[in-house]
Amino acid sequence: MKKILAIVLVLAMALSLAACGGDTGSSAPAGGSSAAGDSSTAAQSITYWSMWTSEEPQGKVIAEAAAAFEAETGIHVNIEWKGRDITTVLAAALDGGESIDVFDDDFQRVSTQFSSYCYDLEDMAAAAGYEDFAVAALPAAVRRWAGSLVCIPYQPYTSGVFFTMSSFEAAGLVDEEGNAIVPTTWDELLTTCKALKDAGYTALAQDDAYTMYAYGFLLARLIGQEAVSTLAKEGGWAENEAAKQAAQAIVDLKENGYLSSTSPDAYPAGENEIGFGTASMVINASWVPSEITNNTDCDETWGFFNFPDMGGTDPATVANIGAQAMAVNKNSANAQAAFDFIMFITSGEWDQTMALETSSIPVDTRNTEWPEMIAGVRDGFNAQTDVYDWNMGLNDNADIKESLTAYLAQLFEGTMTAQEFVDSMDALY
Amino acid sequence: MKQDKEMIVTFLTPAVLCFCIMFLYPVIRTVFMSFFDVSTVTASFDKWTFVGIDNFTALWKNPSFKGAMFNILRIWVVGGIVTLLISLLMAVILTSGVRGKATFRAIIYLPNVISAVALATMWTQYVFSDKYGMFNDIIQLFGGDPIKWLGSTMKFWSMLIAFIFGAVGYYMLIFLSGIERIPADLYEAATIDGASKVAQFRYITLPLLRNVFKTNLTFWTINTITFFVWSKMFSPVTSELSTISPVVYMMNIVFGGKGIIETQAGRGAAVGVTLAIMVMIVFGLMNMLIKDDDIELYSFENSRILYRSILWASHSEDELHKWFSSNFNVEVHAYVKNGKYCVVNNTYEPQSTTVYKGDGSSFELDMDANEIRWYEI
Repeated sequence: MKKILAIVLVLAMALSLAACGGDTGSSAPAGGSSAAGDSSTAAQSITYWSMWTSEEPQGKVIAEAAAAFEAETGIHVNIEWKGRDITTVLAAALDGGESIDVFDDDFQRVSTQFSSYCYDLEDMAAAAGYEDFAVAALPAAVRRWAGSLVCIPYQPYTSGVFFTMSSFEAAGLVDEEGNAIVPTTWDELLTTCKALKDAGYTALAQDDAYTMYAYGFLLARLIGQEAVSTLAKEGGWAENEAAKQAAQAIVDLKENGYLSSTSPDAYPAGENEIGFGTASMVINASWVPSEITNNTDCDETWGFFNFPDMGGTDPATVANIGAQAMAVNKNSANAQAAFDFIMFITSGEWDQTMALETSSIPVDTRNTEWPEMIAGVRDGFNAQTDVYDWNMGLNDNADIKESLTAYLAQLFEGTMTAQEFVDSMDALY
Repeated sequence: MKQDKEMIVTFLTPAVLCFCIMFLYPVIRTVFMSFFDVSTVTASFDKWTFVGIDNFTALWKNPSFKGAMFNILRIWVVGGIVTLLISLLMAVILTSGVRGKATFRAIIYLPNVISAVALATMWTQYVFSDKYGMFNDIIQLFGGDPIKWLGSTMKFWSMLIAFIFGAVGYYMLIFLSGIERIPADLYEAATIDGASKVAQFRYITLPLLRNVFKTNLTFWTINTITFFVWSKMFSPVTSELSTISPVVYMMNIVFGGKGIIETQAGRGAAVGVTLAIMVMIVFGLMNMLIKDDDIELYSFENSRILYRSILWASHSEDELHKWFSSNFNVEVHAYVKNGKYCVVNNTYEPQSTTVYKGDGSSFELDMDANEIRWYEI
């Protein structure tokens, strides 16, 4: 009896070890993507792992587009709705040799974490004349991270300061034609804040989830993203005048009563105040108007201006611009068909539909119709010249992130001075 | 019944195989991985760089991980004491014959039926809200100053309050079943003897609940170590020092977060291994401190008490020191008609006692373990 059990156990061990060995072996055919393009003409179906769920507006648009794509080309698209979990399951699935032709995720993540799984799209994009109509900053960012065009960005967002027209009107911040008078420098922003405060508004809404975003904007305006990244990685906050100045700007906002007494609020309570008509502006990304409208069922007209110039390194035209991106699996046997499908969704008619249905920015510059909710963003977006990463370089040191958030919360609460803030930050290194 | 070996092997093999492939292999791989610099969970072995215990030392230098460990320590100790006390109190009240027991039980258990995500949203967006939150409304009703529940100083405690609210029902249910297993006649007897409810709780319920306590403590420990949803819900977009837990930290560094590019699966594995070691230490300590043995209602001591009670009830207390051993572990049996008596050591240890004969005379006696000595009267 014992013998048999022993044999079974040994077998089991051997099997599990074999599984271990098999794992290391399975990723051997890496880089074997050269033949991928050839068989594409014969493709009858491709598989797309989606970062959306079929219930989301993006998912619905994509499902319709896939049906239209099949009607036009005869290529069927199998869509697997993975939702945001795709971030955690994708690498494992690709390593395991799962048959995936197209996948999508945040464009920065695809261009960095997943770039080694991506088919190089430069040739196919050139053939399709992609550069002629793409929002130039987006493929530029992909190339900066990945070295070449490994994915096609779509559904982009931009960032800056969003406000309701009704609050600006109430504060007398409109010209004769009814256009909002928006600030372009920090001093002008403070004047705007004062007018809004006098009109009974909380000038700036601030949620706890976006404190790094706001501070990152301030800091990057002063010294640029590169320097922010270095500061985050190497420390030296107390010696850095800009770090202190950016913190002081927050302290001043609080002391002058331009932030709500409860800021930073528990996300999304702060931004919802704008929908409830008690707050006016928020530093956030272009999804925020529709988010607030959804949350509060408000009926506001939204305005936008680029985060103001602070007299530092960066002008007011640099913003955090992001997007989702679709990529082709480098091991895909249907690369051309997969690329065609991506182009079908990210340009022309379906890009326009996506923008209108999801209140986002069209990624094809030939599509000139913007959704009503973010129509005010258009001029600011067109003026933008360069791109920040999410949190403007502060994310580059993951080890300090949670502590930085904690100290920023105290800055926004008004329970910490700028000097205490930089000293606390230095204590982390 | 004769054991059919083939049958045993046939039935066991699938389970053993599943265990090895789905449990043993990931465990071994994780432990291995914790000593390597690996960027993604599925990275092939040739991309692993051996770094010794660097992952572990880096963890204990990391302010976020240290903060996360401090958080679960506070949850475990403070939250554990409060949760178990409240749930025990609820269980005792519900078993004390209060009316509408089933209704109250259902109400107290209800938070466990609702998704933690929905519960947490209710807490963060309503109860703790600065502007129209229930807590601040109540405080202001009594003329107090509103508290910033989700501010940097209170956020952790607010999260703990919400978590405890959701957890109490579960532990109460386990306590309830433990209390209901205690024979009712014990309480009846105690009531007849005039023991108060408090005394009954102290001398009957508590000692007999020792094993249930251990079960609850085990569940509480596991719940604390794997603390995730509440942390995520109290800091939904970016994790914060005040609410981060080790599992959230692990998730952040293994899969990256919004705008976080660098992933460190090796260090994530080290978090997993560290937590596993901690669980083992805690369970080891618990097994040492809370002994598993069930309390037996029959004991030599109890039977001696019973014997004396019977004598007292029959007004025969003066009969006590006849055929009697002063040490209750030793018994004296007298067979008067046969002219013999014996002294029995009922334990596995040597005992010394004073033996009283039928005429009340006595002598000292040292006995070996389990020894029986026969005497003539």
